[in-house]
Amino acid sequence: MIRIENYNKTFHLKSGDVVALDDVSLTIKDGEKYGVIGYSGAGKSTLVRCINFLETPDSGSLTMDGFGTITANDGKLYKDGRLLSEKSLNQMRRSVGMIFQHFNLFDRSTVFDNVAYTLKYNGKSKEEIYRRVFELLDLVGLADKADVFPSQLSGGQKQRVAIARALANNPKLLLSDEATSALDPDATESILRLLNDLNRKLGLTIVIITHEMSVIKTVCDRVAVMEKGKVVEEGTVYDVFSLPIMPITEKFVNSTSSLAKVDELVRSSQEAGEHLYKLVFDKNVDKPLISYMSRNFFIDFNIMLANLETIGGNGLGAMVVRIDGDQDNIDKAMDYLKENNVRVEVLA
Amino acid sequence: MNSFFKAVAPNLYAYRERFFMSCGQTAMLFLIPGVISFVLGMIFGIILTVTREGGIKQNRILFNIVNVVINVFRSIPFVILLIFLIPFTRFLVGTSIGVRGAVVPLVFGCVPFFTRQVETVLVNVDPGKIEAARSMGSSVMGIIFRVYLHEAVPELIRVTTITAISLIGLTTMAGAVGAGGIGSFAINYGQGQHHQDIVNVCVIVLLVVVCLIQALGNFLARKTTNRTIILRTHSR
Ligand SMILES: Nc1ncnc2c1ncn2[C@@H]1O[C@H](COP(=O)(O)OP(=O)(O)O)[C@@H](O)[C@H]1O
Ligand SMILES: [Mg+2]
Repeated sequence: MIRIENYNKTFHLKSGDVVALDDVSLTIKDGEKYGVIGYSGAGKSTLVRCINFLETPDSGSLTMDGFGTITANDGKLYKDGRLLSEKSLNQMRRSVGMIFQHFNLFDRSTVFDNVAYTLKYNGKSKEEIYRRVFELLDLVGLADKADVFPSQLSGGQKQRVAIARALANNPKLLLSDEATSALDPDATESILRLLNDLNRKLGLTIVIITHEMSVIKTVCDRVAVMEKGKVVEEGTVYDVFSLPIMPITEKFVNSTSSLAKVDELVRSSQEAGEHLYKLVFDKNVDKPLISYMSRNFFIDFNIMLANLETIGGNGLGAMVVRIDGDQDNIDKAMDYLKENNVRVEVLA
Repeated sequence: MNSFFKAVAPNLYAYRERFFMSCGQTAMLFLIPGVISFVLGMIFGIILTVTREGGIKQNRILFNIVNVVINVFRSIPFVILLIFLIPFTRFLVGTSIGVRGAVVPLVFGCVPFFTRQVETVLVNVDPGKIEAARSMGSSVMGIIFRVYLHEAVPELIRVTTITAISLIGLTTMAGAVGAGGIGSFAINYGQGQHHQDIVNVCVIVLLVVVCLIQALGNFLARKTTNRTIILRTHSR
């Protein structure tokens, strides 16, 4: 388990202070795929960089299984009341892997040497290193590229090498900072699938930073939404998707949903005096409600927009409907829907 | 061969022993300060890179000291430096003349130039690579040798080549403190005695040496670059 408590970080620039982290607290469970989403500048990178202390928080603490609690105070790190030595910090970093948007491979080293980076000069024999590197390359499906230089690889392959390199020391935790943001959709999908596999096979805990909701939706179990250095919303991906609370979360949710065009629809319906409703069917809804209502309340449904998806194996549907009929009947129908766990929102 | 030499450059032939001695002196004036400057320039360049703000071992005091010293010596013209350093040279190596006396000012003339070039090269190593190494728990020394220096090898070869060539230029001025070398040979025996053939041959020798250094540098830089440079015609 990783527990972040009350992280604060302010950058003092000539142009003024930038609050990158504002009292952030999070708990990430073992074996979890934890997403952090937010727009550019929200503080996501600063947050992950404060997990392996590439950046030192101004204050706050981090507790990690097998390593204890590290406390930041006044830009310095302490452990057990004493200043954290560079040596033990480096040791801690070796048990946390990290991958980056631009891969950050060593261009003058072969794929083999990139992956072997942390294994070398570590008292390991040549055979041991050789065995481990190929084990890792097999894991990411690139064993045939061992002698190739990074410049000869595609973006997706480079990220695979970076993943192999990050996992060389058998870390329990992998930090991924926009690891798919520079990749095309195919490569993105294959990298996300790989992360999923690694999570399953190795029990790897993964923290995924992204600005794309689709990434969160495909891999993450839980998600934190960041805005201006704060975590404004947090929960399981399913809950956040089915019932976003903050406007920014709703924006992210809509970004992967065909309901995004709803605003336009609302405006035109308001002008026309039509009844427009948004209905959300989550995993608790299992009846054919629409046809039932149509029959029993003498109203007509016109589905304007609809979005159906599966998140973590659970279905989630939402639709925007125009309802024609007597207001009394419409109200009765809406009450009926609510009784059956459908969330109803009056749009116009 | 000898008769050919005699025919094209009769004066040079007459002074051939002096000429070969001068070539030897230039070689010494190049190699000894060159090796020392290479080591010192690397060390100072690394110090400037890692101790600067945002560096992997930030140290404002050390950075400022090295930075100021380098700037001061860089802005003194070499001929002035030669004279200025005479007492210091005498203190350090016991004499201020001859090849021995010229080594010190040549090092002082070369190191600041090379340091700046090394610094520029190292600072331009992709910070992402440094970050990756830090995230893997690499020590400061590990990052210096395995990332900064290793990734920058072709660029370091390039700036070493440039510095070597400019050091050849400096050696020709070392004649001013009686260190000899091709430069002073050309002035004393060529220009001084109106033997144009001597001057011409000296120019050719220097030209060939410079070209050889440049060619060697280019070759090694190319050989150590593992990045296939693809000229992209399409925008990305
Ligand atoms: N090293 C730094 N120096 C100064 N400002 C920084 C630094 N790193 C991040 N910031 C600032 O902190 C804020 C959060 O940045 P970041 O964590 O990179 O956001 P994100 O990853 O969500 O895009 C931004 O305003 C950014 O400009
Ligand atoms: Mg970022």
